[in-house]
Amino acid sequence: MKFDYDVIIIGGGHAGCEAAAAAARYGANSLLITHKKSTIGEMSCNPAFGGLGKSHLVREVDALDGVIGIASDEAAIQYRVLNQRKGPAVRAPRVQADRKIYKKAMQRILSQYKNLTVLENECIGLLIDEGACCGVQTLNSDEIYAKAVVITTGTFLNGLIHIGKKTYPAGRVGDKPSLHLSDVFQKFGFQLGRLKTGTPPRLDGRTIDWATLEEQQPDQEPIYMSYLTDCIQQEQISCFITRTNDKTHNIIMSNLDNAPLYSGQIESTGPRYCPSIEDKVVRFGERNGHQIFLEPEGLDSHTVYPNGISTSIDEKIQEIMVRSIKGLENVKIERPGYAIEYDYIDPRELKLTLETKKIRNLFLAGQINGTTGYEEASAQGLIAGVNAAINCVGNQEFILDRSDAYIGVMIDDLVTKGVTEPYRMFTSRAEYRLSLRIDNADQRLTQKGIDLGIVKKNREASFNAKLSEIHDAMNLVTNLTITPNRAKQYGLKINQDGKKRSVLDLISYPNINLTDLYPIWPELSRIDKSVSAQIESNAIYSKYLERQRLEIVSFKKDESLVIPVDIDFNDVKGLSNEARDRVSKMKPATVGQLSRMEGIDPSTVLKILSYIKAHRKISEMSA
Amino acid sequence: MYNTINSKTIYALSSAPGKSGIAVIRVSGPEAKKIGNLFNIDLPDPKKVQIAKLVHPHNGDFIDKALITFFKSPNSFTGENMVELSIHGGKAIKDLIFSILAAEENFSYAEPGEFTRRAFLNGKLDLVEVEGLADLINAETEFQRKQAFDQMEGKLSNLYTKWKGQLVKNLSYLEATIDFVEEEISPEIAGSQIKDIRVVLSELDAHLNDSNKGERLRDGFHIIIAGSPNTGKSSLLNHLSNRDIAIVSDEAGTTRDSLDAYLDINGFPVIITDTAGIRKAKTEVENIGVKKSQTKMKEADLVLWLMDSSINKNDGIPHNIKDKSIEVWTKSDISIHENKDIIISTKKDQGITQLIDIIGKFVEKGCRTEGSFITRSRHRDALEKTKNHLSMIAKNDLLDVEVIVEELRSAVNSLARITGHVDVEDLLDIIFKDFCIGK
Repeated sequence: MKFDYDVIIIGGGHAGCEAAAAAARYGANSLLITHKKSTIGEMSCNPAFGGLGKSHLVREVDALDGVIGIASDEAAIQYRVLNQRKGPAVRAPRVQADRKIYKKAMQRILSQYKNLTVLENECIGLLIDEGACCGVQTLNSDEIYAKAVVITTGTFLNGLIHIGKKTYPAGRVGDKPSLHLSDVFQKFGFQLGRLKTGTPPRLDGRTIDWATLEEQQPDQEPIYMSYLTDCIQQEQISCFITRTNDKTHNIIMSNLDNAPLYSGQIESTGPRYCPSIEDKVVRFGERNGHQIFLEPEGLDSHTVYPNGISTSIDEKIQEIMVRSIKGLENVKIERPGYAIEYDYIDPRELKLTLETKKIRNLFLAGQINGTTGYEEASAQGLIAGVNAAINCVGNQEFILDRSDAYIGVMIDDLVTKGVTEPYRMFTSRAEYRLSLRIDNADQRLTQKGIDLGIVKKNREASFNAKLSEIHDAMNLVTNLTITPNRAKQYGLKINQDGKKRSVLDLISYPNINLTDLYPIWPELSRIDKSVSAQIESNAIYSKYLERQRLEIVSFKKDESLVIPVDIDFNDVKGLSNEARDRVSKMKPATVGQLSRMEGIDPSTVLKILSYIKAHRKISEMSA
Repeated sequence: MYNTINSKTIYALSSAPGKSGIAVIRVSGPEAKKIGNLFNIDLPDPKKVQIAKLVHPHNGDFIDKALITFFKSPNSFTGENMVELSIHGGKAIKDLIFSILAAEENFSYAEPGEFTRRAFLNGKLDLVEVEGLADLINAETEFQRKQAFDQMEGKLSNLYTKWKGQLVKNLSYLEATIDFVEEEISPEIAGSQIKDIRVVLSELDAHLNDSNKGERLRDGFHIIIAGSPNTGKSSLLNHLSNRDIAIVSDEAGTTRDSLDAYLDINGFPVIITDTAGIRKAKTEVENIGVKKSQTKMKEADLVLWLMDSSINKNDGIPHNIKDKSIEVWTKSDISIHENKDIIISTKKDQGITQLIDIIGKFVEKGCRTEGSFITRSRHRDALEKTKNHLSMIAKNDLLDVEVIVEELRSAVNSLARITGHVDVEDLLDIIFKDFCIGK
């Protein structure tokens, strides 16, 4: 067979962009197919990146030389660190991003990849040969052949928009849905489900009475999304806060028959952490209003995103409702809010590489796998894209596990447990949270990326420079010591036990920071901020990091017990029918994954384990 | 649910539960050699046996004389470093050693089958041996945990469930303050969670210190012989003392009531005490004796209520002790009654064996209501660990919330070894139910 490309990526959203870039960095000759070139890198929902859990994903993608971090820094018009007063493991940067600048940045970055082509077309079918995907069918009936295909169609699969009693098929407002692909998946027996998500109305900022509203200013000292960024690139602006009131709530309560979520028009599940304003009022209506963040969508745009009032209630009522809110009394709605229902593929259909188990060389990433959020999509895009490229040359697959990265936590959750609502990352999902921090994503992942060959020279150089800085700084903080008596003279409260303390010892006290020690040792102030942040974090959490390290050792042990892909679970004696069904369907990759599956008890794990061990012994004997 | 913690060092009683002459405690894992430091003994060379005095790490008290064997990795049953302590089988000694081991951070009471499982994973067992292992694990792990938990005395399982519910809620609320920082969650919430945690901690502390529960096994099952004067109480006590089930104490300096008999019935320690006869007192001195008898009966685990079968008089068991008493008719050799359920003669040695059998059933029932010995040790280990993590939170005001959560997660996971697994989804369910999330 003659291939036109190595990897084809369908969709130009956040998953698609990252997948295309990753495949190209790995060296694959790649083709990105999108409905509209101009919507590549579109932020379909809120104009922001990062936040808790999500900024962890961005940093990890960035550590592997992905594109989301650099593009969001380029478009950042407000930097804010969440949880500033909590510890470093749960601090998280968040940026408001200029929608147009982001899109432009993403399109420019992708255009710099020499081995990446962009094609404006619609994919209406997959070319399958002997259980393997070998290309796509496009609308004008061209067949394009490739060694692997990554599908990242977001909410476009059978997308159906609801506004009040009105419904119509769409991928997002202004874009056609992908109707054909759903049929393709159904034909191949994929388990499909249906989810719902929503977006608020967009407001004309010129009609908002800003003077009456609470202002939220940007941080003075920003924390960037990418390790490579070293300065602010756009003018920084404020967001503003207002809130709903009794009047707003009454309008919603008396119009629930015009709300598709409550009239029975929408039956699929939406995310609990991002409810519509209808949901909030029905469930928590007694509250003294719900806050709304008014987020400008860009520097030269008047559009404002009112974060907190996602709605699909009737268009006219949206206007009455919004105008009941302080500061929005005369507001003009540019575009109404809406809910969208869409098909997703049960992610338990996927391997940890995001390749489907049913069709070889076919990968899925992003919202199609039941997730939500730009960052979640982007992280999956990277894993799918790089593994699609790896598949073309038959190298060792690239998998991050739960102890490596949030990316690993997310993908393991998805493919092992499936989803019941759109999946979003939270830091509470990561059992090794104190080890997986935004300050050390590069230490955790960049070397892996270099070994894999997906990290470009400039990042490799800056990473190595930081490594040697950390090395030098570590020497410094372990070698500089002080007696308790002298420390007392500097006002440091430590036990007067006569034992000398190193700088590292001192900063592990909760009330001593590295900056507190500058008067004693001025040379400490020469340590770069990103380096000192990492050293301080390691010192603060040292006790817990050691505990987690031990847990990770045993976790890795179970993860390293690979279940052979060709195992026939019918040959394993003594499994219950239910357990046999579950494992046959799911085909877990490792004993660790097997033991995390729902409805699998220890005896099932052991029976499978001893079956594998028996087989290995037999094959060793025959060899 | 299923997780090898091979970084953990595990320990357990390997000999039979209950009272025995010698008990063997097995320790396996990366820190097994720490036993040496912990009890201030020198470990022998691998596979050599050595006698040593175990010393309490905190107060320096002498614990027991023990035989120590050290198996060096990989030449041990599990393939890891292993230490075996052969100690005297007293309950108090075992409990003390277990509590010392439980206090070590990386030590855990072994899950059932865990030694075998480690042996299997380290390639120390052949396939034939493995065949039976799956069934063994099936019977002993999650299923058994659940069954043991379900069968646990109602009060106890309710208490553990209550603590777990409370801690999971505290954990959810604290997680909410981390992950949903922009959601108008009141900052006071964190403080009130810590308050709740302190309450659980003090309850847990009291529970662990409550000697009632362990006492029955540790100090013996208490039986009181009671009844009207001259029904043969002392004769029965003397008779039981002289049988070969009586224990002769070898512990020096033990003060003991001359009216006690120490017996070993079905492997459990039993203490039988005689009391003054119960009747309407004629003198003040006698009245004191009767009151004392009544108090003892209330505290007893079992009362043998003796009645004279040679005279036609049914005294009837006092109402307040009816459910823990057995009617025993004495003097069967001169009985004027027939067809009594339990009737004995100490003079003729009639019915005594049957009586001991019946007592044995009560003792077993009485000692087993709290679960078997091993299960209880696992529970104690889990509760001790829970307590240690909660204490870290309670005694340190400066901890960052994510560190508090880390300790609290560990506490909940320890408690979950008794009460069942807790998932992130359980936390999210609580968060989304109780807070309006959705910026």
